[in-house]
Amino acid sequence: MKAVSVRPAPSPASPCFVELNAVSRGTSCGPAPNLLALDGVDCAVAESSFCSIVGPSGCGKSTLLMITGRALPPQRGQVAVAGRPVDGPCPDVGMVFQRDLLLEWRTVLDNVLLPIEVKRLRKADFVERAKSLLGLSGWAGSRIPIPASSRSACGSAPPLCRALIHDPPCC
Amino acid sequence: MFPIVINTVVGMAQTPEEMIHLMRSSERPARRSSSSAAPRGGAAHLRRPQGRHHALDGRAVVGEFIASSSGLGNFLLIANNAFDSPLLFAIVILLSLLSVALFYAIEILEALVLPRPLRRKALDFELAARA
Repeated sequence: MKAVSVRPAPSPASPCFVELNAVSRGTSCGPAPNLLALDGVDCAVAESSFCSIVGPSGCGKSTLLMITGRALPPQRGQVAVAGRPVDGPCPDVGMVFQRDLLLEWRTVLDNVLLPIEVKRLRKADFVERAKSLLGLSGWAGSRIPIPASSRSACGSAPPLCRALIHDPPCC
Repeated sequence: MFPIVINTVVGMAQTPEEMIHLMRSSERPARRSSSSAAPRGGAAHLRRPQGRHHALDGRAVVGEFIASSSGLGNFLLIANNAFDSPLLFAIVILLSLLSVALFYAIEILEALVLPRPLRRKALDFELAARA
């Protein structure tokens, strides 16, 4: 993804919520290490808007999202979410990954509550929210442990709920 | 000790990269780390060294062969040099019993501490390594 400029022209009423300025990063793994995956990417996304990033496999879409969520640091450039520069783990972003990344020895509910535990927040405060999120996606029996053999049958609901559990403004 | 160190490194290296990203994106802002931090936080706990038994299966005695002034390894050397076969055998039997006891102590500890799927994975890993 080279010098892409994605500007959905945010109106003055809704300023840029996510802003990337000249972000560059090389690949850390894969068939061609140190290949420049992102080269001077500028991107601005308005609040309460949907933004899709489309491109062929390996063009740096995931890297761009990882950098926005601060799962990966950019090698050059700045990232700002909600007007604050992102230079560490960002609580304003919820991330869903390509793989479900569910821990198979935990229940679905406990998987959804994982970010809460990592953030060392009180789990009890978020149980109701987790249950309602799971309920929205048709997971009533959320205490049922996920059998390792049927992980593919889980679908994308639990990872999505996990990303939304701390109510991030950006997901 | 070396098997534990090596297996710890192997275990850390095998942590799925996406899992590290998940943990990193879930971290509290206050716990921000340097960008080059190796698998840390929650991700580091997801894997454990596979070398559970090696340190306790009697190989520690080898260290005592080389440089020690006490311990069963040292005693074994003394018995060997004195051609004291009964003492030699007594030490070997004692070491065997200690190894078995420690092995099962670790097994019990593992059963208490590790979730079942991880134990199964560890067992698969060991069987594969032996094959």
